[in-house]
Amino acid sequence: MLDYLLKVWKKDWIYILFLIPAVTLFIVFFISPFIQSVYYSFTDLYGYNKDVKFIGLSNYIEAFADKNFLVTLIVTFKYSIFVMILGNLLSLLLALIVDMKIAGRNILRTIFFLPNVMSLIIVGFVWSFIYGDVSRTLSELLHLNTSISWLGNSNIAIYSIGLTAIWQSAGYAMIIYIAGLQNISSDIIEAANIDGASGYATFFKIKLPLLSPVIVMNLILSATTCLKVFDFPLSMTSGGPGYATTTIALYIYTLGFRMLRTGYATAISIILFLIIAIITIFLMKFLNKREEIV
Amino acid sequence: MKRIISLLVIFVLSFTLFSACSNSSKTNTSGNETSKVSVSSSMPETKVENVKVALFHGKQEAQETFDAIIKEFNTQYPNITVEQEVVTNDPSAVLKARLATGEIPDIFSCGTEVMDIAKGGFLTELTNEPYLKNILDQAIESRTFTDAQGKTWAMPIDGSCIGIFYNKKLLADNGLTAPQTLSEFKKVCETLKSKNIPSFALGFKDAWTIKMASVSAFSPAVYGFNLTWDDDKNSGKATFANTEGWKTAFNNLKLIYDYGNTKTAFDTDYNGACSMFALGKAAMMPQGLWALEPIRKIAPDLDIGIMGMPVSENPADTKLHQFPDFSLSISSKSEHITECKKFLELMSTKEIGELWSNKAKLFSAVKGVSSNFDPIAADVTKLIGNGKICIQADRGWSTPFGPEYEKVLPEFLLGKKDINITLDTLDKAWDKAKTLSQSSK
Repeated sequence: MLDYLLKVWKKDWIYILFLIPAVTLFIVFFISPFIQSVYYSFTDLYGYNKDVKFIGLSNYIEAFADKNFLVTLIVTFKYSIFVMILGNLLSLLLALIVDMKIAGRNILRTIFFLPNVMSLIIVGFVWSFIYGDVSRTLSELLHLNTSISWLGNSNIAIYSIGLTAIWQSAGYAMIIYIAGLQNISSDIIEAANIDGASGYATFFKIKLPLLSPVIVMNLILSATTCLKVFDFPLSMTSGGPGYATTTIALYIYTLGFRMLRTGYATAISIILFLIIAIITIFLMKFLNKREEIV
Repeated sequence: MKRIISLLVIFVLSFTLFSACSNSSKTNTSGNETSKVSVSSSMPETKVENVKVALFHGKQEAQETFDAIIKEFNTQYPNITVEQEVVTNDPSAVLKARLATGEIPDIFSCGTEVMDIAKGGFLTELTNEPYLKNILDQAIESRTFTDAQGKTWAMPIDGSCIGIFYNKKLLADNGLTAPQTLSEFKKVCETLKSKNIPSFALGFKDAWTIKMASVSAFSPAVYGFNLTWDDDKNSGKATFANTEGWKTAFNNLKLIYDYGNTKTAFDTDYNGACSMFALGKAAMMPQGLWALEPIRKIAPDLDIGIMGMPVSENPADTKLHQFPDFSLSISSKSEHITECKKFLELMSTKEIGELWSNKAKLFSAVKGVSSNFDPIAADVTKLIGNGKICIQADRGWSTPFGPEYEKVLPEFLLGKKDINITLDTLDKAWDKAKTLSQSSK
């Protein structure tokens, strides 16, 4: 084993040297805190206390019995499904629009992508203002008696936040869809046109199946982002009213930094990690199957 | 040509890298805004050694006041340098990091987490310090600073209050006066409702404002009759469910919600509520004294007062919640504890107390300091004189309970949890929080 390592070093030492800084940063800022988190999730770490006791699976058992955690799970999943499906549909639509040979498509592409470069917290604050004062003023101008309480109504608040997230992230998925569309060789489209295929048939029977690996990849990307969402509920509603918009990440923040229950918060963040990992693995297996078919 | 441009771009980009570097060395933690103010000393003799003391807090408004206090301190003790460090962005998290890494400031403000930090062994006990006699007794005795065993871990500097702001002119225009009993209170709300005026400005979009409204309700309703309710709850003598005061408090909270800007309460934030009240669109607002600043910015001459919330037909039960707010503690790991104590001694003098009160627009915790930073202060002083204040509310609660309590309030108001389930939930959350903050020791 040692001989092998020495052989590799002799041959590639300069490449290894270039890698060391990045790998060190990765270990220090990612691997090491992760391992520490796993350790602390099995302890009763709290607040400023220095002595920490090992309590086994107590935190995890508590999480499964925690009604509030269950609510945040439901909220996060409602939000994720809403944003993933609607967001991807919208991005695909935008990509199709930009893909058509219309004048000003470059400008349109820039405009659609612009929200994605904005800071999430700023987007959150601006949209709270839109959902609040702007919506109220609009209702007054249109002489409507009552205005919709976008962020105050606990039934629709999470979807209002979802709309903001879709607005912010649609451009990103759109770019990936554009790349996918442009990868479809024009020969196939021409052949379909010659065979007399209508626009609908071309889209549903040819473009969509060829796009399926791109669609699944976008779903994976949006899934991981949605399940971890934190900035939007924090800046728009602080998780309220009650627990109506408290996502898992926001719950972890409240537990760890406001209630000082750092051990329990770490356990829940490990659970979140496992949830995202399982969903991602499942979606990737699905992606591989689709790629095989294509 | 291309080469020159690319070299220029690299130069400019690397410049921004260096400027970012120098910024982070000035600020202590990335992204936070801190400023270091040091007042240096000049040492003629070498009899007393030069000592540096670090002062850490998160009260941006107090920075200038502390500058003046440090200057005064240096005329008395020229050999002690006090370096002030203000962190406004999440001071609690920054303090926690400093305690964990051992870079502990000599004097610091714990905010509301005095007991948690004391349990970690980071604080010097101040119980028998002679200068504590200059501080109001009720301030020191508050569970925020003195634990159940009688040990004092922080010295209170100022006090604030939470109650119901009321617009004297608006009430008078409608033939009303500040209500003293519960039935008068309901009558005022009904009269205003018949004239389509919201009785209360509510900014429930910011969830902490709901807590303020509930504090103004439960402080007189529960702690006004039993200052040591927390101890009774911990020993099992009392519970949320079997204490009549909690039912009164929650019913009063519902009253405030029903007679306020109910439809837009959860869409309006704290600033919106303050401007609603300041512009005379609502007659009253349940809040803390700190709301005076935004109100005065909009309406500097508005004739307003602050009162306690009525809880019965006896006017004497209507109490304003007055509580000590800012405090200072001394690190147990400091090498200059004697010098730190000298600084606290200066903070407890009448002159500094008056300076603090006038600049911060709050009540000084020092005995005998008059407060005329605002016309409203006269109202509060009168209430204090008549004994119509209650100093206890949520300051003695264990830290994990606070956010749980805050979450329950909107669920109660929106009808998702009725009063019995609400009180039951609070009972369970309290017991859980108690074991958490005590177990790891």
